[in-house]
Amino acid sequence: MSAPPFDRASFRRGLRAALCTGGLVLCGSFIGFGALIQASGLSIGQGVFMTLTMWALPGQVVLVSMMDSGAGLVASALAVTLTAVRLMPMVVVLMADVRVPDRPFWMHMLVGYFTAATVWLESRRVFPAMEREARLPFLLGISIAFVPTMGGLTVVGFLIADLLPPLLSACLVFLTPTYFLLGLLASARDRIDWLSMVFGGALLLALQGAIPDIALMIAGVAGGTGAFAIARWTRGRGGHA
Amino acid sequence: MPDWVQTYVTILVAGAAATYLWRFLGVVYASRLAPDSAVLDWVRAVATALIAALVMRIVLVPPGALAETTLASRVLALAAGTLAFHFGGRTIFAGVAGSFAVFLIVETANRQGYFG
Repeated sequence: MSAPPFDRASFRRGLRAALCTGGLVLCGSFIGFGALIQASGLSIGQGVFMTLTMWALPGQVVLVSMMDSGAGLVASALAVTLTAVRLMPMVVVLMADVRVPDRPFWMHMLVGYFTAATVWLESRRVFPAMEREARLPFLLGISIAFVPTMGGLTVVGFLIADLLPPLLSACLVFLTPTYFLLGLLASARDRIDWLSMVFGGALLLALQGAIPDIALMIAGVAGGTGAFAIARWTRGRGGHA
Repeated sequence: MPDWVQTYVTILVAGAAATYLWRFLGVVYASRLAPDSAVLDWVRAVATALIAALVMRIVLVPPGALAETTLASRVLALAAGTLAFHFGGRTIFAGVAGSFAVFLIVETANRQGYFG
C-alpha cells in the first residue's frame, strides 16, 4: 500500500486558518517574546533560533530567564523540560486525530515538532467537522504558516522593544492565558472537558503556594485523572459523559 | 568553543532537545495506542487540565511585564472574556476582545489611581 495522496486543498485551508484569532494572539505573544529577548541582553539571532528550534513559548521564556541568571546547562535543561512535559499528551491526542495508515514516519515527527498549545487548540476546534484524511495536511498548513511568521515577529518585537509602553508589553503577555482559556472553552464538548478544566485550574490554585515547582504537573495529571474517573463512573451509572 | 557558539549549543541542548524529547515520546506512544482506546480519553483530559492549570498559574504568578499588573485586572479580564465568549456568539474572537478591553480599562484606571 502506498501513502494516501497529499491533500493540497486542505493544506491551503490550513495556511488560511493561520489567520484565526489564535494566530493573531500568537503574533502578539511573539512580539512580546522579541521584546523580552531585547530586555534580557540576548541577541536577535539567539531569539529567532529559540523560536524556530523550540517552538514552545513558555519553555522559551523559561530558557531566557535561566540563561539571563547565568544558570548552567543542566539546570536550564531541567527547567525547560519541566515546561515541555505537557506537550506529550497534546502530541498523543493530535496524533490519534490525524493518523491514517502508511503516512511516512517523518510526517509524524513533524506533527510532533509543530505541536504547541495554539496549534493544538485550533486543531481540536476544527477537527470534529473535518475528514480524517484532511487533518494532517491542514495541521501542516497552519503550522508552516505559523513558524516562520513567528520567527519574523520575534525580530520585530526585538526591534520595537523600546517603543512599547509597559502597559502594552503587559497586554502582549496577557494575550496568552486569555487565548488558552478561550480556546479551551471553544473546544470543550463533553462533560470530561469541563471537569478537566475546572479540576486543573482549582488544583493549581490549591497547590501553587505549597509546591510551586511541580504544581503544574500535579494539577494536570491529578485534575485530568479525576475528571476522567468521574466521567467514566457517571457514564457507567447511566449518565452522559 | 567561542562564547557565541556555546550559547547556541545551550539553546539546542537545554532548549530544543529538552522540549522535543516529550514530543518524540508522544509520537512514539501514540503509534502504539488504539485510536478508540480509553487511555486516549484520559490523556486528553490530562492535556486539557494542564492548559487550564497553566492559565491559572499565569494569573497567579505572572511572568515578565505582566508582573507589573494587579491580580484584580487579570481575574476580571478573564471573567469578562468568558462572559463575552458566552454572549458573543461563542467565538474566540469575542472572548479575547472582551478580555483584552477589560484588562486595558481596569489596569489603566488602576495606574491612574482611580481605585485609590
